[in-house]
Parts: sequence; structure tokens; C-alpha cells
Amino acid sequence: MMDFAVAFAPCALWILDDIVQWATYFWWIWLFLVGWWWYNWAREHLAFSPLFALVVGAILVYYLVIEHPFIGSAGMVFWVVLTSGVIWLLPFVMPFLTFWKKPPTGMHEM
Amino acid sequence: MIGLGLLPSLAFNALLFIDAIDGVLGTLNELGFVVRIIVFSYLCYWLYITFRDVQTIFGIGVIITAYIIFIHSLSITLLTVVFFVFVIFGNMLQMILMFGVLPLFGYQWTMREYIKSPTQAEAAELQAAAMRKAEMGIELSEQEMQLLQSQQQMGAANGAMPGMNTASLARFS
Repeated sequence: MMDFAVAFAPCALWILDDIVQWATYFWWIWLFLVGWWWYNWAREHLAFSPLFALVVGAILVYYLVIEHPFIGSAGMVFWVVLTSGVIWLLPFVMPFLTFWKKPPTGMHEM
Repeated sequence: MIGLGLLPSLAFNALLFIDAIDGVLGTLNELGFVVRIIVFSYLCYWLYITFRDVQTIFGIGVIITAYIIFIHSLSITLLTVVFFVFVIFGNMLQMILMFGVLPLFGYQWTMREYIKSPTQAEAAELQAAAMRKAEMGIELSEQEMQLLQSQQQMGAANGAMPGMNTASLARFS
């Protein structure tokens, strides 16, 4: 299937329909997750008042999921990364990320 | 050429006021409101935990907090930034200025004040002026006295070792 797409590139647009279909499904699932996460945030932080939690959750879901979903997603990802503590693992990962280091000069002589 | 300077401001105004991109200003306004809601939620939680047994104060605190957060958010933000920069990071800021920024601009700490270190020509001029003042009997400032003493030391060192480079002795004065 991929060979057909590569060999006859201008004629392989039908595959985009499948990609867009699945992307749409994942996008709605992702929006549901983001919405649920923001509503859960309101519930956790305003546990003393269920009505207040509902109002604040509605405001957050409206502005951060319906109006500005990318900013809402970015906020959720940033907060999860920050509070989960994966940043503590950075010193263990950095030695393996060498793609931005220049190779040492003079090695080509060998 | 001067008109080119208007281009960034025109672009900025276009971002703000052209409806085609739905108003960046409106988006920032909405996000500001969302941040206020989040901050207010945190403060409400703290007020509830603190005044759990005296709900009257909790209610009054909620009203005051809501007024401060939603009406005066810009002032609160600026005050918080000033607090963090000058109170929390004041020591660090002082060290950065004293040991990093001022030396880069040519200022030296002489255990009492900062002096602008002069170039060789300016130093020679200052020394000549100090010598003239000493000959005429005018009272010298501390800096001028230091210059004359360093000159005398350099002269003595030159006499002791004629081949020595005088410029290298400047660090001992």
C-alpha cells in the first residue's frame, strides 16, 4: 500500500480520508480527556463546595477545551510534567541526548 | 528608512485589531480571566481550611479576595513580580550587578567606592593634572594621591630594574 502511495503520489489522496477519520476520533477522545482533567482539578481544589466546583469546572472546560483547546491541552501537559516529577529524571537522560553536540574536530584524520 | 520602524508597530496593531485572526487581545483577555479563576480557587481553598470553624470570616475573606483578584489583578501581579525580584532574589541581583554588570562597564570596586577605570591616555592625563596640583600646593583628592603614590612606586621600581615593563607594575599599585 505504501509502495503504491510512493509510486503514484498524486493518486494516493484516498488514504488521507482514513488518516483524517482516525485523527478526528483521537482528537475528540483527547478533548474529552482534557475536559475531564480540568473538571477534576476543580473538584480536587474545591472539594468543600460541590456547587462551586461545578461552576468553576464549567468555566474552565468552556474556556480551555471548547474555546482554546490547544492552550488547555498545553496547560494540562505542562502541569502534569511539572507535578509528576519526571524532571528529576533529566540528569539521567541528558548524557544520551547527544544530537546537539558537535563531533570532536580532528577525528577525520584517522 | 525611518518609516521602517513603523512596521513592527503596524504588525502588532494588525495582530490586535484585525478580525481575521479573531483578536489576539480577546484571547489574552479570556486567558487572563481563566488564570484569575484558578488563582481564586486556590485562595478559596486556603481560606476554607484556615477559617473552617469561623465561616463568617471565610465569607468575608472570599468577598475581599474576589474583589482583589478580579478587579486588581494587574496591580497584584506587578507587586508580586517586584516582591520576587527585589526581596526573594535581591541578594542574587546585588551579586550579579556588583561582580558581573559593573565590571563589564569598566567600574572597579576600591573597597570604598566604584571608580571608572580610565584608559592609558586618560590615566596619564589624570596623573599629570595631579602632579600639577601637587606642585601648585592645591589639596589633592584621594584618587589623585593614590595616582601620585603609584607613579612614585613605579619610578622606584624602574630605577631598581631598568629593563622591567612598567605596564606590568600597574597591578601592584
